Amino acid sequence: MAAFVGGLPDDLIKMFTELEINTEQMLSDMITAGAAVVEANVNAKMPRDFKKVLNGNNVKITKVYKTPSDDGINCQVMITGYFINRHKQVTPAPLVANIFEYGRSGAPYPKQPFFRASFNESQIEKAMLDAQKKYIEES
Amino acid sequence: MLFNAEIETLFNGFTVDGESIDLAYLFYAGHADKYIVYSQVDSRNSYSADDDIQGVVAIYDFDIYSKGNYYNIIEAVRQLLTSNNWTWQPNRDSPDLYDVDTGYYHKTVCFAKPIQITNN
Repeated sequence: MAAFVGGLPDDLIKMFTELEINTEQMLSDMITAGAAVVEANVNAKMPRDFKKVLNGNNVKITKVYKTPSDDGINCQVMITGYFINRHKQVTPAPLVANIFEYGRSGAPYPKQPFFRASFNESQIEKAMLDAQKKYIEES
Repeated sequence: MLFNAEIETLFNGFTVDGESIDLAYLFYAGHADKYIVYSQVDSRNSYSADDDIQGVVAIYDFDIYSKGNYYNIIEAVRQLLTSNNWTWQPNRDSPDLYDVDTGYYHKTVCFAKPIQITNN
């Protein structure tokens, strides 16, 4: 009877072993790299009027977290903080962002969507693949 | 503004439950209890070849304003657009919103449609 014995190169076995250990870290780095692209886009596309009412950097990335129900590894890009108007009324900044993003009835100006347009799939994918290259060597 | 003319034609005489619904581009200056405002909010390259863009996907928001139940309007808008080769983008829809000072309920529904660019 014929027999066949095959072997993988040592460097490939080493890469698979390292990947097994580092998969979660790799995915975490990838998702953070994608989120950083979105964060930069949100800051760049944010309407000037909205930027004016905010103090400091109100666009933030959350910690990476897992959702066991779908085996997901996620993080969120969010708008935080408060807007205080000249009458000292305090409004959460996300609500103000909502008005810019979706508009409202009776508003004397058109809406200025900036948040959804910041999720550019090809840009995000490229950043994520660049982060992946640190872990997976391509030959 | 790739599809504005098509949208205006599609929504010409648009009625829901026997009630005529006004449509406006970017801003509605009327006083109807139910109306729709539409605008192009984004566009993406969908296909490139020969160092040029060959196809684009245009993304439009349809903002539905109503002083009452607006679910039938959403459903009618969705049916009208999807039956004319538009694709619903539910992950870009707004949450249910209510403008306290004007009394309008507000929901943004988002649709996309591809267009082929011909370079001669």
